[in-house]
Amino acid sequence: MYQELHKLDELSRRKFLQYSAKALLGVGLCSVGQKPAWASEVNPNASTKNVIYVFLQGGMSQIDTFDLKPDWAQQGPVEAIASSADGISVSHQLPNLARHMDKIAVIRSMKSHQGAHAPGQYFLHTSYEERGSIQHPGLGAWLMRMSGETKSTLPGNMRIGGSSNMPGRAGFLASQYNPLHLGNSGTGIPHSHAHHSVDAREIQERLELTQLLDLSFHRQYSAKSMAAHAQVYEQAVKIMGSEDLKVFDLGQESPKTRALYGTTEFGKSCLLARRLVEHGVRFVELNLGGWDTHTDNHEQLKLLNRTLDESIAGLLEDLQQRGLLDETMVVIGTEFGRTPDINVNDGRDHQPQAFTCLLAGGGIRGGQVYGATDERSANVTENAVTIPDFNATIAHGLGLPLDKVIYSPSGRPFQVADKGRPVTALFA
Amino acid sequence: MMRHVLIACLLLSSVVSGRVFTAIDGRTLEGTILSARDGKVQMQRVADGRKFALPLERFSVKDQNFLKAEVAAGRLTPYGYSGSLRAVSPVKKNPLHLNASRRIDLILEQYWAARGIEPAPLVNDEQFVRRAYLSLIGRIPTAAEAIHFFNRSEPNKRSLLVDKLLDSPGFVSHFFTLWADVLRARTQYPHGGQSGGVYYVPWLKGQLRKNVPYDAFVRSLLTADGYPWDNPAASYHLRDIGMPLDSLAMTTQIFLGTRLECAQCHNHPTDQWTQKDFYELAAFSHGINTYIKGYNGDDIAKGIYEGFDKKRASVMQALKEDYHEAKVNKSLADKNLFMATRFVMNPLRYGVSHTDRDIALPHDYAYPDAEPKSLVRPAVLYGQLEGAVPSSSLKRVDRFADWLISKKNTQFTSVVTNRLLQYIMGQSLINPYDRITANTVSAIPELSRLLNQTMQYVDFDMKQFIRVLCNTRFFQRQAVIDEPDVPDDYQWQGPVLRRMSAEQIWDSIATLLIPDVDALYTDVYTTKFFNSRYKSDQPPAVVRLAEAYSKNKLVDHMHQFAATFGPYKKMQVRLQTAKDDRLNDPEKYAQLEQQFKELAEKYHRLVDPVELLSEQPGDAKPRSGGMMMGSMMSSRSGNSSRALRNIRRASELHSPTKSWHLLHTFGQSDRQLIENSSRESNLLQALFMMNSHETNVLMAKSSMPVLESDLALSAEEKLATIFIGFLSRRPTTEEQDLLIDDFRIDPINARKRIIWSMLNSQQFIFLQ
Repeated sequence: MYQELHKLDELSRRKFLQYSAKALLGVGLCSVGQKPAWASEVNPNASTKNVIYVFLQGGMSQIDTFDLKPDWAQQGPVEAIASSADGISVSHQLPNLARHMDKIAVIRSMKSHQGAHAPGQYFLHTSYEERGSIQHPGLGAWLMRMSGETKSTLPGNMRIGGSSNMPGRAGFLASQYNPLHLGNSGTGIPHSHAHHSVDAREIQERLELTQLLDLSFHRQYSAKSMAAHAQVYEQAVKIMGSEDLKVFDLGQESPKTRALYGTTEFGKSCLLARRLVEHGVRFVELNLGGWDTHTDNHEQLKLLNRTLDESIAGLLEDLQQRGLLDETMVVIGTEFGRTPDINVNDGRDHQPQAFTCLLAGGGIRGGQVYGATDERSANVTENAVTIPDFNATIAHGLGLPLDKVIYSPSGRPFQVADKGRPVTALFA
Repeated sequence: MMRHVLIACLLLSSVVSGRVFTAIDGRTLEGTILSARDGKVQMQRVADGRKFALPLERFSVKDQNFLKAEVAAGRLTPYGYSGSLRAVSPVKKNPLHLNASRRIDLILEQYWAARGIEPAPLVNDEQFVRRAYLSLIGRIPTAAEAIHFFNRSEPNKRSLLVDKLLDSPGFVSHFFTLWADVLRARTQYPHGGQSGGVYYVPWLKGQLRKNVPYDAFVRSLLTADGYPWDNPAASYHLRDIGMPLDSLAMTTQIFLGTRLECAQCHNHPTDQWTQKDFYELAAFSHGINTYIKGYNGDDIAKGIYEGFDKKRASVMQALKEDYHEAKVNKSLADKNLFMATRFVMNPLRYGVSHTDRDIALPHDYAYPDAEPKSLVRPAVLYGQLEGAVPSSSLKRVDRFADWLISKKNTQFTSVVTNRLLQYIMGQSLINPYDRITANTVSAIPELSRLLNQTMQYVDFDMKQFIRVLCNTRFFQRQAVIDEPDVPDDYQWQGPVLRRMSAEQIWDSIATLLIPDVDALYTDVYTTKFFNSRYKSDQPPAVVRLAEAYSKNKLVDHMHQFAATFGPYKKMQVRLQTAKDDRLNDPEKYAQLEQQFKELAEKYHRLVDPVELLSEQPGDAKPRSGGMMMGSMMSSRSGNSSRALRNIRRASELHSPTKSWHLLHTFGQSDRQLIENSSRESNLLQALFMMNSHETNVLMAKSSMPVLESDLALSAEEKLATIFIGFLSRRPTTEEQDLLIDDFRIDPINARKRIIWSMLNSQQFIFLQ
């Protein structure tokens, strides 16, 4: 085989190598970006194109933020202030968000049955309970799998901050749907530029030599994980030197716009998220941690609320000014809420049976409260929304087919939000 | 007579296997360095014990650099060599090990025959040396190590290599990763401090270096009490501070493969365990207290005084009284004293002690077999407890540990055999081994029985067990694919083809970047938690203060500290608020920042007095080889030397590393969940391998395989050395034909291209 190879001229050799690579690796056969070929239970009026999903890790205290109970003895030093939406009051620590409540739908009747962080976060991200036998995909991966077209070379599914092991990655779907995880807003995509001495032709030469060195290896092993490995190389080559990389330069924004988001790292992540969806990224998950306030709940909430308030208000305002809010759904999700009772450490403990999440933009009718809790915010009294319902609502906004069954490679059937039903009342 | 034989055996077995050197003619030599004088190195060859001297220039450039650095570091002198590798407890060699290995192969042969399956063929030496190094010591072999192995002619050379690797420091490094993942050992915020991770991690490596039997190791974790700087094993319970029920669920998952977290709140939906079972088991360890509760200060002081630190009681008593007074008086100065004292005392809040606390069923217990809130007596899940349940918490935990680690508790044995089988072969017979239910069956029950018997026969000596596994023919078979999504495609034809773990990738790259990476240790980790600094080689400041200061001096110190504390905290808030309009008035902000910096310095000096720090004997820079690297690299170009100075094996970096590190990119466990690492491919990994600084350094002439090939005479030999350095194999004839012309005509660019391509190939990153 190699002897024959030698006789070929340069161009033919190249073609031959490319051919072998394709034959052996399935390179070039990937089908990202194909239109879904079904149309069953799909929201015909879907107006969400992108999602900015803000994950408040640790369990946000609903009673100290968006579900105040001023008459409850253990409310603590939180005052209710009026907002831009009739009849919705929020904590005095959220003055900026109060101005934007007309854009936000508050779901006060969230309900989960997972009271520990790891299973709670898994459930929130996937709509399924954690199992030893399978890993379920997150919403971003479902979106990529079902209608993942993007306008750019950037990956359509990204995460900024938090742990790279957070559940809700590609799961049993192909690993190309994994979110690209950036440690923070400043790193950009690391190593996305080749060494200055290396041009595109040299990269190509090197890639071909790589294939050649691997020929015998590939004769023996051609598993799915190999193909996935080859595919990430394909993607990597595409992104190197792409114009789209400028998206990571927050310095391109005016000082005024930057100031909107505040100076925190989380604020910068929000700004980057806006830039990313502007550049064709479909699903961006941000992480704001620290909400596990078992000790000194109120003390800790000062900073947490300030960060949340400033940055999300900035994000909503900026999205609206740019006309992106109608097509971008901003989701504020958390794995569970916190108890109305204050514990011995002046903190609040986990409460999965009643908590609050928020939705804004992307066709959501703002200025509304959905569901309610009792006088202590301890139980849902009206219109309970389960985690699968919540995820189904986001998927509904995106126009994903909720009843479409996707089989895992082991033949088990799964749906985008399990059996959750979308809360259509939340949409305009 | 018997005794003499025994001693001779011990002496023999404690001989540290030598380093593999390459001579300029390309021959390899495994030898121990004895001394160096006048440019000659005195050595002893491992193979025949012969001593001889070799001129320095007879070694490869890589070895010359290494030897010069050892001289510069003062380790290699005319009078001897103190070595840079730490002694590792050698594996016990029992002829019965090889019998067990044969029986494993026999069972597998019957298994294949019954199913009409062809096993995978045996690997050649090239594949074997790579697999053995990666599986046992977590990195690829150097070119010298691989060539040395190829050239050996003993019929049992594979078995000899396994023994050599089991006794090398790299084994400890690689094995540490497994246990750090299992135990969620973290050296950074918050667990490095609060849970004592900076003390735990060096201790854990020590346990592995000493090869402490698994059952004794587990026992030491479960029964540890006190502070982690006094007893690092206490970190095990401190990893789940204030969560005794979760801690128990972790214990049963890690050591018994039994998942009880569901039964914490209700009867297990898919397993046999009831909520009551869970509480009965939890009753054994519920007396364990991991921290002093309370936001109100003098409860903390009292708690520390009574619960944890009687040793330093008299001094702490003074602090406590002073503190109590301050709390009662409530003037601003007193309030600061109160807060400051709480800050300084904070490390003393986290330790393991025993209380007489009982456990009761939850208020919403919903089953008819017991009343809510009724007290629960300890009872084991299955099997028998020896004797009656003792009343003291200390003894209860002791008895619980007895039950858990007993050889009668087959699940305890079964979990560790499966974990080690997976560690070496990439697959376990019980899968997953940490979710065993009543319906769990082994893929090959007979093999499971044999492995469990073996583990008990060697009395939980994990090294002996691994020796048995690695002496099988199975370990020498070609890796086969096990698609996780396709059921039953894998039939134990051979070990499983896996991408290298993040640690294996990093440690292999480190092996290619610098010489003798196994000899670089980090003994001292530092982290901060709640204003206190935690350093592996000394207790936190409060303990040192209490020991070094008299009562009065300590009280004085606290008053001084309190006077700084108030202004410091105020300034912190001022700075935070000023941040908002720092764009409007950057000068004012800079001024404020400067003031804060000065105050902070004073504050930190008082939190952790420097004079006390410098008194500590262990405070010198860790013997990490940093000096050696520094002196060696100084002759190289500036940039890469700075980057290379901090290169260590993954086990010697923070656990886990920060998110920008290659280890993170390649899926190192965050050590938040048990065994939470990932081997999935992603875009960032590809970009790293193609464009990173590390890749550029590996392509340069200073990369190890290139240095090793430097003195080779022909282009063919050079090319072969580079191939072996990166891929542990020689180029095929076809590859050589295709590459050699370019390599001759344009050696630098051809080398770069070839190295780049090898690094980015799949055979580099997949463990065949």
